[in-house]
Amino acid sequence: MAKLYVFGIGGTGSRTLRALTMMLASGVECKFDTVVPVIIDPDASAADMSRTVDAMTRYMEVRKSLDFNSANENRFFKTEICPIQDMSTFKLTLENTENVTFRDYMKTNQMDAASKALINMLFSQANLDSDMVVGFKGNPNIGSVVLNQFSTSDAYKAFSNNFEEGDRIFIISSIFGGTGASGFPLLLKTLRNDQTSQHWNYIKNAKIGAVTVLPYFSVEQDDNSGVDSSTFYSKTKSALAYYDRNITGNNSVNALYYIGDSMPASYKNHDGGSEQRNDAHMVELFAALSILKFAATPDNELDGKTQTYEYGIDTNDEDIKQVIFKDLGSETRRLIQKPLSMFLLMNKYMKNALASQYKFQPWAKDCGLDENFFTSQYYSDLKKFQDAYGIWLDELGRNKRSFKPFDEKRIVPLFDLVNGQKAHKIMWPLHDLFAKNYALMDSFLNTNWPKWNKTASKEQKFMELFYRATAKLTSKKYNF
Amino acid sequence: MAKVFRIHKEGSGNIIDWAKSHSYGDNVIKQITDPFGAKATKEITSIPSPFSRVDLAVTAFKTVNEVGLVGTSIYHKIVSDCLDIGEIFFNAENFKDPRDHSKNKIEILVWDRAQEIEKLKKSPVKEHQIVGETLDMYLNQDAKAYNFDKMDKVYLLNYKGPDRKDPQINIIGATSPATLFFSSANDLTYVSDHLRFRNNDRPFDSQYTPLYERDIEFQRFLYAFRLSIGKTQFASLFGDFDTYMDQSYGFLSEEYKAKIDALNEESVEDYEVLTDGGSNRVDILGYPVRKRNETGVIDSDFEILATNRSAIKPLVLPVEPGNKYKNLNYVQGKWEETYKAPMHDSADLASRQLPYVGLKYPYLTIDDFLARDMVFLPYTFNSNDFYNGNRDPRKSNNTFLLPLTKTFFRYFTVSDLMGTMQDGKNMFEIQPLQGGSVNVELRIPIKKGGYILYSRMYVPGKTIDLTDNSGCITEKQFGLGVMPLVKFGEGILPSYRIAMFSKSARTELEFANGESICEIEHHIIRREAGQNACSVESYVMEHNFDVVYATVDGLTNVIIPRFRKASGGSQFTFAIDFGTTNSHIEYSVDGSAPKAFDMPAAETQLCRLSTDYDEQEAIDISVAFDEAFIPSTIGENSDYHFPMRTVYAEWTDVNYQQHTETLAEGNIPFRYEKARNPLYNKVKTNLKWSSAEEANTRVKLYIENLFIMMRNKVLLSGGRLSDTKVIWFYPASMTEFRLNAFRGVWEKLFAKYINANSADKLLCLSESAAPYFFYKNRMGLTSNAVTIDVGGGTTDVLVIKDDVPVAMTSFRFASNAIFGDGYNWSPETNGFVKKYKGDINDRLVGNSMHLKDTLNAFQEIMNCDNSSDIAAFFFSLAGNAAVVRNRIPLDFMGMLCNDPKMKYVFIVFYGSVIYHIAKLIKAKNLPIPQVVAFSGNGSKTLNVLSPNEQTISVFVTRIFRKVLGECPDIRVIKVDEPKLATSKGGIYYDNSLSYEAIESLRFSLLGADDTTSTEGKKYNEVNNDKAIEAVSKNVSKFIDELFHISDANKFMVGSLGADPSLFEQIPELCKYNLVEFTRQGLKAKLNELSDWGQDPSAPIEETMFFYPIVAMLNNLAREISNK
Repeated sequence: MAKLYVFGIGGTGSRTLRALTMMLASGVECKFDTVVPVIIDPDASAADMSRTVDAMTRYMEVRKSLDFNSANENRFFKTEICPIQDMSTFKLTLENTENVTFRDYMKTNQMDAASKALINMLFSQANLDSDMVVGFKGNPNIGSVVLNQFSTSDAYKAFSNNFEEGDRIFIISSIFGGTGASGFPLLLKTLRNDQTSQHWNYIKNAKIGAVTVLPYFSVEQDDNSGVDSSTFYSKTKSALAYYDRNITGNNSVNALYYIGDSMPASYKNHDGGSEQRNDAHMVELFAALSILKFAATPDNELDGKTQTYEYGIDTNDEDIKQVIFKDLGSETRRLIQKPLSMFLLMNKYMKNALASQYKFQPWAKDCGLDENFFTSQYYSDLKKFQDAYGIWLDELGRNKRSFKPFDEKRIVPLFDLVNGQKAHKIMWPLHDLFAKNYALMDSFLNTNWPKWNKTASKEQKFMELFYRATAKLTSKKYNF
Repeated sequence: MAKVFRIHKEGSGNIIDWAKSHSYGDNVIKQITDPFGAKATKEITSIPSPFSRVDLAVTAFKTVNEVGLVGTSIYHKIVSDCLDIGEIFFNAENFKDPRDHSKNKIEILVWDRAQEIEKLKKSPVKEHQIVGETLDMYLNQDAKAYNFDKMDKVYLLNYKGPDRKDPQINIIGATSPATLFFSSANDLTYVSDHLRFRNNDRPFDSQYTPLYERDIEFQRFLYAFRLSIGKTQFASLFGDFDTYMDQSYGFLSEEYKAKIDALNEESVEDYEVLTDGGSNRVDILGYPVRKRNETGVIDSDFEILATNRSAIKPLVLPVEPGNKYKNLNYVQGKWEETYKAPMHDSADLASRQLPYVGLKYPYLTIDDFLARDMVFLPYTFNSNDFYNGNRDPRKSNNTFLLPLTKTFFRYFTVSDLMGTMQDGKNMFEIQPLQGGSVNVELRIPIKKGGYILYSRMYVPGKTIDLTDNSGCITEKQFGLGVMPLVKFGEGILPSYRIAMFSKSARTELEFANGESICEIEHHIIRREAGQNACSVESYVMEHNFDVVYATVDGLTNVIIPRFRKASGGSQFTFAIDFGTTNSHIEYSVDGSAPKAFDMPAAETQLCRLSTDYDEQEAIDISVAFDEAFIPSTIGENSDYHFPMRTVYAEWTDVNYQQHTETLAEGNIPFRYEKARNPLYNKVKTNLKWSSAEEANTRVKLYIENLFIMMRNKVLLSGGRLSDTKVIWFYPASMTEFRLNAFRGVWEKLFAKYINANSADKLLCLSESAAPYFFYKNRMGLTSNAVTIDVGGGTTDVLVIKDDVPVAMTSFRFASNAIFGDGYNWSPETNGFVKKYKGDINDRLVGNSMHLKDTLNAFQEIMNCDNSSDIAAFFFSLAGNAAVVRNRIPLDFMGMLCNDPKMKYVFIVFYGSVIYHIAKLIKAKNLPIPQVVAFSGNGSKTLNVLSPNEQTISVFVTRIFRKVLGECPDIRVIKVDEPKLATSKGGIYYDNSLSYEAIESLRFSLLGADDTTSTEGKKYNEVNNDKAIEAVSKNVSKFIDELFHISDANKFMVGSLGADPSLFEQIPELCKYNLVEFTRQGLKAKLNELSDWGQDPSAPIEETMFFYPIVAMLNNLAREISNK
């Protein structure tokens, strides 16, 4: 079983992984069974990273009670997400970067004069004096040195030792920041160059894809901050030129996905840390889609020159403020609109109906889904995951530009949920009452499902039920 | 249509979902419009590589090439900074201080890739390993884009000048394998003020200067560099830079384009390869980086308009701001109103940097020309002989030295200095002000026309501060004289004596001819400066010079003598009578009547810087000129005149084993007998016959002193050295050996000081013959005559028959035999001294208010243990200026004339001489002379015998008759200044009597009998009792005959005025101990021979007759003095 290693570098890396996690949880198809996310971010306290790690951890928790044999239709949480083998965390930790300036990190004072001089030539005093505790503040040239320690880290060694033929690698980074911008070329060079592991040859020849996130947001101007979004563009242009010369230019990456947005969202200016918590943005969602795109691209299409991709939606409105499913290209729509909708329906139900219904509904009773179940760790994790999903959708919807496929806060009428999509009326034999809102969901849940694994675990049964029900519902209601 | 999530405008509009698209290359990047208008001010750091700066520079050049070379974007800044770095490399030497590397503003460091990477990778520090691995990885993986694969070394510019941020490392830029140069990301504006470029451009400022507006030399180098690599190769290596250069070329003026067009592949060799200061040649991918070629590249209106220099012409920069110079072209721009050069630049000329432009190019400022200190002497300045700095003497007549530097004379001549500018203003002016300050103005002409005015006020007691224009004027005291004030012409060996008498212990002179310092031939300090007296120093120079640098107590100023040009065609003849006691020089100009050597005020040989040293405080200086050099005047109206005592004063520490010079270690002491000899000197008399080892040197120095005086006279009074004739005299009694040595001295000195190519103009003449020419020409000497020249040491006799000299004899018996100490007897026993010293002392003491100096001289000479010197002093008193001036009765001759007892000494003396000559005439059967002519200083004492010529004639005639029997009356003639006869005779000498001719006339009686001559006899043949007794007997016989001339008693007592009471005793006194005296005389002679390296087998060259008489006279005087 081939694995897709996804390196998420910096804040954008984490946020994109968050989107990927949400999509995989909803059952968006990934051609690789296993995704191994690796988060590289020296900013240990970054909120974006914490949320992503939390989500992925819950994902794993939830998923470990599920099985995906042929008897089951469930695709929620289908794709395996796991850390590198033998590692307990998704984070690739960096050493000696806390409370230390770049200068001290490199221990320049112990270098000989020539090296010291070169370092002083290559790096500005501001570079050298910068404190690396919150990443590289948009200085990927620093990152290019400091991050290089990851190649000596346990995580990287575990990665490279476990890498197998057929495995692929994907790298997420933003080009205009610090960590991602530097981590990407560095990681790429290391992957292509490092010969210290047993399987270096597999890695060297592996298919590697990467998404380069170009500016899509700006931060408020703050003269005291190391981050100045007025430089995002100039930095981007310079970095793109560098990529042109040294990434695509030497074909060291097989597929490169560019994405950015010319109508940037404005965020509060935080250098990093726990306050750097930006609302999810559709660009990250599209970036996450590039992972899936890459995963779905056959090997033979990735040989030779670097394949480069861009992402577009199907609208004539260049300045579109709010994007809904209908604006997306058909491929994207096909890929995500049904799973996301299904998972949201589940979310809605769990949030608004489950507590009052589970004691009475046959689908629960028959499966033994009693109070014990709904107070179990499993359910708690799932619930929390769903809460996060809801927040994620909410953030996407309120951002500029906004991706708002759902009116996710609406409680009733439940099926007016998908923006721009009118729900079909479903005729229900018993009573009209059963054909509306959450009752309709119960009705579908209570359907007599064929090929149903009666011996599956409660966790499995619960998930299976909701998958089947929401799948059918979205199909009937929206033709998804 | 689709909306594509991208930030650039153009491109395929049909992208929906993730779809294949073009790679983001230059075209895409170009289309990315920065919503912030690319006004980003922060340095870009988003290149994910440690070599991001290298990459950024590439991007910057690319971007600028696309948007235009002029702009304010960050890319324009980066391009400008890169070019700045290149220009700093190009000008690197200008930012260095070759004398003091700690003052270098720029240091080039080298990073050796292989070596440094290896070091980092092997470092025990883990982080170093990471850094090393990272650098290595990027260098390898990004090799293609930046030519890293061809790069072995990076050369880094480390800024070490003012305002540096870090004590050690302030890297501002480096060589780049991709864009030739790249700059640091740091804000480098702190460097801007300290590294100026040629055209006033400042690096790293907010004016982003495109290449075509930069220093054309730098541009020229870049294009030449490109050609040296090959245009195609260059373009493939440095594509964006190449394009940039192509575009920049288009903006150049036609003039500059032509300069670029003229380049070829070799043009880069116009520039030297830049090194890191050590062994590393700075290169980019192996192509050496060059540095500015400093020669002839600057074209500035401030260039010095120098007389002396042709190569590098430094700029002369004003030190005062203002609009006076604002329209002048400075380097590649105008001199601005606010500009002012520093007053002082401690860097040597070659490593100076032009102010405001930071360019290493020589420039000069006020301190290069004007000293900070000015010295004045509180004595009246001698403007006739020294340049006074165009000052108004009415304002202050002090002696001001010129506060000029050696640098000034590197560029200008003395005549420049004394001249004027085009606008009629003096080049140099000293303006004394009220209160002792002095303002000095100096105008330095510049290429543009006009001049830079440097003005400095020298204030007494001012503390000097090099950052302002302060100058200090200080009083010092010294006397200086230059001898002679003549510029020597081609082919003439210059010879100068410079007298320095300083009250400051640390005084030093240097002499320069234009800019070249002249070697000092000899420098002697006979007396160090002390509390009570000035130093006594002489400098001997054998080069023409026109500038004197005087350093007193560390302050150096300039003295400019106004040398005359020696020109003239007069023919001078000098005749030098170097006598035992006195010496004399006669000279004649163009055949005029001879006259005694003189030095009127107009011909002063030693020109003094100041004219009035004889203030109370500077009397030591005034006296030192006369004591150690030469008085201002000699001759009429002077205290000093010829003939003068033959005496030489020499330094008490003189060492004749070493090189010595006259007028340095010693000199003719004109003040001898007139004042106390200074303590630093000892006085040497009896030069002529002294047999001490060093005597020859001393004689040479004495005569050299005379030669210098003669030569100076010729030069100063319009004579021509090559026509100058010199006649010298030798005593016939001088041994041949000694004569040859003596001749050598004259020849050498003549060649050195008069003319090396006209030895025929140096004539020598026997002292015996010289007076003959005088008497012949001036006194109408009759056909048969005898001339008798009585000197201090010898008496020379010439017998003339029918106007032709027929015999000559000479003997060491002259006035020293009267006044001397016999055979080394004590002066205390000298009769004359014993008898007269008390009287003379009383008269000197009695007139000491007038004769203080003379009294001092007397006391000194009395201590010298030499009766001849004492007697000479006694005689000198009558001519002593102070004695004459004050009409003090101190006439030793008069005293002797009036001394009837001592008269016998003179009777015996002259009697013996006449008697001996009569015997010789008889022996040779020569005609009896009609005239006997006396000359020589010693013959002055004829006056003691009798002031009446007729009486003396009788004396002579009677002695002749006693010897010859019958004899006509003989006429005696003498002159008032008998000493002069020899010299004057020399002037008249027509070269008709050669040395050989004279020598053939030589004849001496041995003295033992009436007939035996010395011919063929040797001293060892007579060194026996028999011979000695024969001589003594012969002398005894002479005494008998002298006192038995006819009417001897009556004549001696009556006519000569001798004391009658002694008449009977004298013959007995005279005959006392004659054998012993003869023996002593012979012994003395043998000793002298031995001293001169001759053995007793030398031929006898004089009669022995006078041997015992020398002692006899001494004994007689002593005996008489006791009576």
